[in-house]
Formats: sequence, structure tokens, C-alpha cells
Amino acid sequence: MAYIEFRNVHKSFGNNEVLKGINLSIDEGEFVTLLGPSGCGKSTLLRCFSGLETVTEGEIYLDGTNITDFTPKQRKIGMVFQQYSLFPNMTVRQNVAFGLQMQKKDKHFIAEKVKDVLHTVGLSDKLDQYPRQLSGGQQQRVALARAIIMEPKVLLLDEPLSAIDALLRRNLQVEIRKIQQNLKMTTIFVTHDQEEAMVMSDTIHLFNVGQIEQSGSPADIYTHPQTKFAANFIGHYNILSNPDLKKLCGLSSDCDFVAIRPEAVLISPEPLNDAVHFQGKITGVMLRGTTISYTIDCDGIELRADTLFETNRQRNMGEMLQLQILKEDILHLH
Amino acid sequence: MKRRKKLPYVIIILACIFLLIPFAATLVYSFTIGWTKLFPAGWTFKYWIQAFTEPTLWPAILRGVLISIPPILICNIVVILALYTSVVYYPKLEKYIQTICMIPNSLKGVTIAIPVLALYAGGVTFFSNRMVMLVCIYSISILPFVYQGIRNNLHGINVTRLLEAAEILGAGKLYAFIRIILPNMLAGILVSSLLALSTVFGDFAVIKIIAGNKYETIQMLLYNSRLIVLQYQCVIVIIMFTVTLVISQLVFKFQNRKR
Amino acid sequence: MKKVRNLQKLIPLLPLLLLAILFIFLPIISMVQKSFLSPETGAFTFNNYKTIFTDSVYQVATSNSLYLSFASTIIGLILSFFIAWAVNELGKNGQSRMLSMLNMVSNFAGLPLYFSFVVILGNTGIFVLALRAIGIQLSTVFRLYSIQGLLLMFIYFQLPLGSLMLVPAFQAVDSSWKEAAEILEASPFQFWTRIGIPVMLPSLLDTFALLFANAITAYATVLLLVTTSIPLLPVKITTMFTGEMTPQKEMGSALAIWMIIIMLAVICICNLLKKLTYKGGEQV
Repeated sequence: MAYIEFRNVHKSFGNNEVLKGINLSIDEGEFVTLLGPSGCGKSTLLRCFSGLETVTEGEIYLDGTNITDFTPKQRKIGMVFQQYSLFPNMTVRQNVAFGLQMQKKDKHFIAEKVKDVLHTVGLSDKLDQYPRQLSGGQQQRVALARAIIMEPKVLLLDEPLSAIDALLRRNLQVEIRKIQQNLKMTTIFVTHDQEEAMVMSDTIHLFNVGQIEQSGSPADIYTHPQTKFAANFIGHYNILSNPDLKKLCGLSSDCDFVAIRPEAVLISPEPLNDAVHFQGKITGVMLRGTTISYTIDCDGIELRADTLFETNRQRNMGEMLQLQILKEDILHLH
Repeated sequence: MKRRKKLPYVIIILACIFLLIPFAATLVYSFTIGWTKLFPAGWTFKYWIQAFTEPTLWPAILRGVLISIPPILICNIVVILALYTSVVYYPKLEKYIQTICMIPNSLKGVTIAIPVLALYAGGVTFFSNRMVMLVCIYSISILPFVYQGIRNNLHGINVTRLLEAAEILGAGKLYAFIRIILPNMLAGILVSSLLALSTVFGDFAVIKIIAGNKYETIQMLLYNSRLIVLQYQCVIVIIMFTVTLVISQLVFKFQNRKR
Repeated sequence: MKKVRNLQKLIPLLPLLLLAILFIFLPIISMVQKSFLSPETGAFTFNNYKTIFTDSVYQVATSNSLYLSFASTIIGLILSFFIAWAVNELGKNGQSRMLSMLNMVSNFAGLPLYFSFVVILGNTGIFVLALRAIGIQLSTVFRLYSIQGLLLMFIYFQLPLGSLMLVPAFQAVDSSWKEAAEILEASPFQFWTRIGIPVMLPSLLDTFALLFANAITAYATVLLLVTTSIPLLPVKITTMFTGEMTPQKEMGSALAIWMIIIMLAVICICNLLKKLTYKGGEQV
């Protein structure tokens, strides 16, 4: 049996069924991400696991115990919220110590532990500041410290980085992942940001309207989306209907739709084997950091093609291109 | 699970019973002939008819409303002038304006009427006129409401931005104020004015101290009827309450429409 | 030249200032001055204040007013706390219905409130009579025309005001704090004592000050009830200026200033406590 198991978990708010039978297992020490658009049920599943919501049907197991009817207190989990949720009337030190104080731990022990944990999250110098005096990123580190000091069986992160600006978010992503790996703490992370999910996770579970659409490693999910929803949500796939595919290159699929990664649309003059070939005209150029993406009109079908940005090989609007796609890069969507 | 949802309802129900009993009892009592046992001796509309047929009721209600109009006008003008100036030119002064406007939150009723009476009564100045005193004291009493209404409004519409936009488009400051700022504030002014109206209408202390029987509002009418049968007083209480209720419903309506 | 124009811009502030000076500051200052004058000679004296502390009439009025104000404020605040909490636990519809009910009842003060209480609890009040009909004499334990009767009425008008002020304070207590505390193994009681109430403390102190000021200046509610039997400061002061007897302006001034000092002292203490207990530091 896996460390954490969700068995046929249903959750309804009134007539609105938010979770439609979730089955999910998570191994000990794993960093798992629940990914999906807002309202897909990912946060609800997390809250059901934490005990802040009760499940309508189904069972949840943690470390071999059925915790479905446990109170949050009994579950021994840690949680970090999107809005930081630090107690505004307490200093950083008091916030972090709060949980251990509730367990009536020895004062000296608490003081030492608080110092340790704050060192881990890099906030040793902010011990006596109040949450209001900290930046968003720092507040979220305190929240993280407050959760991990309890040495929870599972750490739950509910969109912890959504309220933090882009640059800081990158840093925190890496840091959270590092801390998690050092502590080998089983972690469930909820986000709507697919890039964030890719960076941080061992396993990603992609959610769509209360169900798991696809599960797998980041690489697996990125390179092999199995459904139209997955292809749409992960990366910037070109999605073509079967008739369009036929029109473009003469191939036909068993499925209604196919997906092609923008990097798989190759702008190269030398024809490759096992590839389909066609022509297109550039209608848009957009520089995205190290890559450049072209919008290409192929006889009425619009494709996006990404290539590495090379200063000496700029292509211009209106230019006609020879394009090819390896057949194996055409993914058939179920 | 452990979501005990019962307690809030128990508290709410107890609070409702306690708070609504006096009101309900007054209403019921106004229809009774007498009440000496467990249940009333009989029912009658007599006291309602009496109240409405006497020539004193309507003028008394009207007086209450009339006396609130000059203070509301004065107070609104004074506060708009001060706040607008401070928001546009002297943001630092705003906190002093706030301090002044909040004083009547604590100094109210007796504590404002007695000092004014002691200073101006019996003199020969313009302020010795009881009606002038009354209007000015009410203008002071309603300052907190009017201030809060106008302040929320001015901040809600981002006056500085609007004025800048108007000026770039070639409008003068005064023109912009009259054509753009003022119309945007109207709903808020209306709400705070209605709140002020209900304060003045519900006032007894000031009118009793300053005007005595010289200006019989419905509050004074009720006071003067204290020796008549209780049922009659109940009728007056219910009428007063209804008027305040209408005013507060209007406030509610306008507040919601603003959103 | 520029200075002059700047001063001109200040002109719109004058009407408010004038109004405040003429009808708040001047009257109070003149009252303070009058309170130090001897009624007989018109010379400067502390005697008026001395009388307040020595004459039993004023002592009783002061202690009655203090008792009523503190008791009704404390009880009112505690009950309002629970009402506001309960209102906040309701659904959206229930909440807005309760708020409009509280709003409605908050208008129910002063004379109308007095008459309503006479209807239910007066000497021939319907509760009193109904209880008598089934053999219970309420007057042995409770009389409206007593200090407990006043206290009940005071609590009645404090409740809606207190609740209306505290509902927003409860809304400011983030529900995610509760969740975070729950996960950190705190009981609801521990949450409220260690986080909820400390966070709400400024609002609680503000409400305390407002309710106190409200109670100590209450006049209409008590006028008909207490004229003879229970002396209270506002009524005492008013009769000294407007009563049928010869006005005692100097003594009345001293008493009025005394009442204002009590009220301001409570407000200042509340503000001071607010500053002292403020946790959370300055914002960056």
C-alpha cells in the first residue's frame, strides 16, 4: 500500500460535485503536484486531505491508517496557504513556535528548534519582526517554517507562491524543492501554473473538472499529453483537428485531434526521414527570452513554431518557409 | 464531523427575542383596552384613531423633519468645502479635520447642548436665538456621519486623478468640481444625509434642553403625553419607529444601489 | 504673492473651523471657566469641584452614573461579542437580515425605549401582570424603577450598537488563520484567546469607549425614570440649567466638566491601551 491513498473520493457542495471519484496514491518522500485551472477541484482535494473539508464519499489513507474521519489536529500534517495566513499579532518567532506550544513542548526545546527551522528557510535575522514588516516572499518562508517545524507526515502547499512576484517566485520554487529533498518530506503541492509544476514535482496529477485527466512525471506529461485538455493546458501545443492535419500534410489520425509541440515544427531546409513536409508564411514574430516563436500560416491553418533565438538568423514577416514535423512528434489525443 | 453549527443560531434567536420583545409588546399594547391579567381585557383602535385625528401629530412629525434640513445643508457644505480642499491641496490637514469631525461621537446630547446653552442663552447675540442654537448644535451632532460619508466618497472616486484628467481636457478646477466631482458624490451625500436625518429625528436631549416646549417635535409630543394613558404613548412610539424605519430602509436602498 | 494665494486656498476650511470653535470649543472653554467661579461672589474658586466630592448628592450621582456606564458597557460588550460572532457564522442572507434587524433596533433608544420598557416591566407592565396572574411577584426580585431596571435598559441599547461595531471586526479575522491554527493543533478556544481576540483588541477597545460615552451621556432613556429616585449625572446637570428652580450655573458647569472628564479619561485609557497592546509592528 502506498504512503497516501485516496480511494474513490467524492466531494459535493450542495448540488455541485467538485470531486468526482478521485483515486490517487502517493509514495513516501515524493513531491506531488496537483495541477489544473481554477475550480478544477485540486484545492478541494488538498483541503479534504487536511481535514478542513470533509469528504462526501470515499476514503483517505495515510501511512496505512484510514484518516477519513480524523480532525485536522489528529492527522499530523503541515499546511501552507496562498494568503500566508501568518498570525498578525505574533512575531516570526511566535508564529513558528505556535504549533509546538500547542503540543506543550519544553520551552528550551522550542526555542532551539525555531532557530534551526528559521535558519533552514533563511530568515535567522527576522526573528522578532511582525508579519506586516516582511515582504510576501519572506512571509511565505515563515509560513513554511511554521509548517515544517511540526515535522508533519505530509506537507500541504496550497498555491503558496501565487501571490508572490515572478522573480522571487522562481527562487522560492527552487528553495522549497531543496528543503523538501533535504527533509525527504512527502509533499502535496497545488498550483495552476504548469511551469511551476514542471520545475518542482516528482509526479504531476493534472486535474480537470473534478477528475484526474493525466498523471505522470513532468517530462512525461510535457512530451506526451494524452488528451486535448492536457495538450492545451501544458505548454503551447498546436492542436489540429483530423481534417486540418490531412489538409496540412496528408496524414490521417485515428483520433479527432492531434497535438504538435511548437519546438517540433522544424524550420530547416534539409528534409528528414520519417517527417511530413509542407510550406508556410510567417505572419507573426515574437521574442520570448531564449526562444523565438513564429506564427505561421500554412494555407489557412495557423501553427506556432518555436526555435532557439539566434541573432544572425532572423526571419522576417511574410517570408515563406519550408517546414517539417517528425511523424513521432505528432501526438494523437484521446 | 465536528462542525457544531448550532450555537450561533441559539445566540441569534436569544438576541432576537430580547431585542424584539419591547417593540412587539409596544405594538400589541397599543391595541388593547386594558391589561390587568394574563391576557388583555379587549382590543381597540381607539388610541390610534385618537393619535391620528388630533391636530398635533402631523405638525410634530413635520417639525422633526424640518429642523433637520438646515443642519444637513450646513454640515454637508462645511464638510465638503473642508475635505475637498484638504484632499486636493493639503492632504496633511485631513487628520485634523477627522479629529474635529469625530468629537461629537463622544461629546453628544447633553454634553454638547448644556455648554452651548450656558454660553449663549440669555444674551443678545444672534446665537441666543433658540432656533439658531438648535440648528447649530444639530450641525455639530451630525458631523461624524456627514464626514464619514463624504470622506468615503472622495476617496472612493479618486478625486485627484479625476481632476487631473479634467484639467488635461481643459476644464477649470471649479468647473470640474461642479460637473464631475459633485455628481459622483451625490449618492453618498444622500445616504449620510438620511442617516443625519434619523439622528435628528430621534433626538430628545438637545430639543428638550434647548427648545423645551417652544418647538414640539414628535419626541417632545411623546414627552408631554407622559401622563396620558400608556396605550396612546405606545401609538406614538410605533409611529416614530415607523418613520425611522422608513428612513433607514431608504438608506439601505441607496447604499445598495451605489454598488 | 504665492503665499497669499496659498492662504486663499485655506478659506474653504474656515466654515468648519468656525462651527467647531463656536459650538464645541468656546462653549466648553467657557464652561470650564465658569466651573471655577464662586456662585456668590464670582471669584475664582475650587469649591464647586470640592462640593462634587463631598456632597453626598453628587457622590451618589457620580457613582450611579459610573456603575451604570461601566456595568452596561462591560456586559453589553461581552454579549455583543457573542452576537457579532454568531452573526458572522451565519450565511450571507442571514447575515444581512440580522444586520438590518440590529440597525433597526439601534434606532430604538431614548424615550420610546423607556415607554416600551414601562409596557413590559413597569408597575403595571404586561410581564409583571402576567407573572402575577400565575402567582409570581416579579417586584420581589426586579423593579424597573431601580438601578437594575436602568441597567437592563442600558444593556438593551448597547447591544445593537456593540454588535454592529463588532461584526466588521470579526470579518477582519481571516478564516485562513483559523485553519492554520487548527492544523497546528490549536483548539477553537486557544485560537480565540491567542489570535482572534488579540487581533480584534483595537476594535474591542474602540467599541468599549463608544459604548461608555453612550451610556454616561444617556439622558432621554433615564429622564422619566429617575428624576427623583436615582440621581444620575446627565439629569442632575440638566436640571441645574433648565429646571424650574433657580439655575445653578457654576455648580452645574463643574458637574458637566466632571462628567466630560470621566468620559474623556475612559476614552484616553482605551486609546492608550490600544497603543500599548498593539502588536504587528509598523508596516514597511
